[in-house]
Amino acid sequence: MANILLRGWWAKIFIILLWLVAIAMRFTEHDDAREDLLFSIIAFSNFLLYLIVSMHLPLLTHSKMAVLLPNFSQQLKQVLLVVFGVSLLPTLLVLPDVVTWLAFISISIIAILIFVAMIYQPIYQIFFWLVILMPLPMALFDISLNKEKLFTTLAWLLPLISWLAYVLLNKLVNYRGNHKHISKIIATMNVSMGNTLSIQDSIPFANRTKLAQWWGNSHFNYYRKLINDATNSSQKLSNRKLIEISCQSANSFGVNAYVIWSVGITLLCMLALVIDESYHHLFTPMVTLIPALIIGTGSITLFQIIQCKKSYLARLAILPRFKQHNSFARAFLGYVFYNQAILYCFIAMLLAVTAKIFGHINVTVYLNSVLILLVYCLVTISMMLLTWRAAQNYGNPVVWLMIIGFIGTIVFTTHMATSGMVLLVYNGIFQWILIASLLLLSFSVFRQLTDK
Amino acid sequence: MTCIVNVKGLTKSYKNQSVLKGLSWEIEPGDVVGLLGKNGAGKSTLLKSLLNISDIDSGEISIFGEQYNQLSSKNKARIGYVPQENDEISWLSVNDLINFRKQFYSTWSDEKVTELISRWEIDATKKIAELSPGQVQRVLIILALAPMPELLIFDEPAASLDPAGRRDFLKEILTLVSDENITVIFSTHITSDLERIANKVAILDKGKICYFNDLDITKESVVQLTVHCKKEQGITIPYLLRGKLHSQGQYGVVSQLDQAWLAEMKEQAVEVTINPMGLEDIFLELTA
Repeated sequence: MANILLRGWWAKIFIILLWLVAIAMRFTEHDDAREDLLFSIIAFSNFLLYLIVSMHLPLLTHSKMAVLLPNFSQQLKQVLLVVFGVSLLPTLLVLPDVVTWLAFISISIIAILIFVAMIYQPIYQIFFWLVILMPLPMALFDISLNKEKLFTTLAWLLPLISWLAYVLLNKLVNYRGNHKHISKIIATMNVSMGNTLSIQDSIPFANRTKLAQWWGNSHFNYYRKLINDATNSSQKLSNRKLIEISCQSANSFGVNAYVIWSVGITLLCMLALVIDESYHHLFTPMVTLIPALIIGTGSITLFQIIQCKKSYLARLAILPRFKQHNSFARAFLGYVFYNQAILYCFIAMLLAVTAKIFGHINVTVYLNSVLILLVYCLVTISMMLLTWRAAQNYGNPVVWLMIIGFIGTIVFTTHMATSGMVLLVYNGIFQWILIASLLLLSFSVFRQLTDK
Repeated sequence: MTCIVNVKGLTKSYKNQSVLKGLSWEIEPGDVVGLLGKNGAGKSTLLKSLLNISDIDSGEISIFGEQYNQLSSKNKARIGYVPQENDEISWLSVNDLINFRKQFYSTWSDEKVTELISRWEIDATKKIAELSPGQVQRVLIILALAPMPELLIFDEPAASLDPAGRRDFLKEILTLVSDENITVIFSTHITSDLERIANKVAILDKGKICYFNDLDITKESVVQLTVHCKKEQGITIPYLLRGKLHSQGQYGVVSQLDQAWLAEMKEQAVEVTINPMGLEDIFLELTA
């Protein structure tokens, strides 16, 4: 049962690596400033573990056989408790004192409750946004946060939180409701990481939420208009546009996504301008998370889409308009480069605006972040192209590599912001990394253009 | 005799469309019941309802004397179920799935699993997603048989099997029934399968079990009658399951032939034509 809940070697290796890093840091670094970083690493790794378990839970609770298997609920409960217990073992080594440890357990339990609630009832996804937007009420109502007091309170609240969690756990292991929504989760969790998008795309339109229907429709309307305009005028769609239209999915990061993110960031910046500057640091997690979300939905999604559309694009490639040598490969490259260039320019611009308003990073860190993003972008495009050309399906490991590389990028950027690093462009190692990623990209483009 | 499955007044509807309408049914130990019904008649719904996989609107169901939704672990271990659609975790290998299921049963038979896997030539290292629908069906059957259940419920078990697989499966069930005296309920619309292994036949129509009897009795007794008479004669056919009037008289299907009534008809010089029926004809007639 634990194997089902903890499916995925990449994720498990990543979590264990993070634990090891945290433990190594605990025994090698003696700087007090490291405590927050240690807490963040251990919280991130454990939360990732809890999220993975929560996402796999419906495979067990909502299986048809769940009601028929003897002692199913008890065994599931036992396994969940064991997984939770094991996840706390590294924290014993990493966290500095008992109060922090007890508070961490309380926070972990609350996080698990939120994750499970979000998975089983989509309405509870509001919790995620409440946590992200927490700085707003704190700034508006002038609530000061005393970490020590907060941790002591959480430590004292642990018995109550544990009791609540146990009651809910007993309900969860017997819960069979919300079948329509859970069937979508099960469909997604039944495939590997590389195929989650194609499964989501296969959900019938009528079965999607109203918001998802509106989002999909508004996204596709733009491309419908493109097709209609081309049909009504004498000007044909360019090859790149044709491929772009073919590569659209309900989950694509399109015009409406750019508009909504821009509006959201603008509102956030306007708010930051009217509140006291002393509260700006509360927004740092949020303004760090937003570019992360955009890369996640913009870059990884594009990779998955072109992987899913492989056979469709192969059929497109044999159309008469692509009869000229390499015309399809050039158009395809054009689409991928154009799409990613816009995405990363948008993120760079967004980072600049938020850095200016919130002042969470200085000019050097900003320039370094842009350089790291550039490397990440080059490597991502290379991986997309190489995987697309490969005969075997490497979608799953590549998505995980992208996620791990991406998280590594965030961690490195955070480290850079706190350690006052010099401009990376003058750093020898970085120069080699940049050259290597350019070479990798050149190789992948060359393969794209030469492969039959 | 105590019933293994007892259903009283079961109702179930989907989006205001009634599927089961006050259905009552009793299954005795050792029965091998073939459940026949047209597509959409509610066979799967009925079987899922019995096992608490699908919620019911009203009614009472008991299995092994316990309420269907409060079955003890001991009684759950006595049930084997093969669903119509495979909802097993597709990325698990057959071996993983077997090991996962095994942990719940103390009566699990590794010998049975090994024997069936080798006999049905299933590559146990393959993932469920990599198997053909027929192979998946076989794996599901193995999973249902391995805990040595006393009550087996199959929802269209042979639907995805090729003729050889079907024959093999039916042979396995026959062996089990004769050796272990288990009770089997299986839904199907392949009447030849039913005739091969069932000792009772149930027909589900319009939300109710409209016919439930021994298969042999059914094949012997259920006949089609044509009574050549005039409407004014007002002849009533006894044991009528389904009947209609037509220009030459009355036509009907009876559950058994009443010899006294036949003699009476002869005396009245009313001609009665008797046509024996196959199971498929009986099913078609009763659900027409």
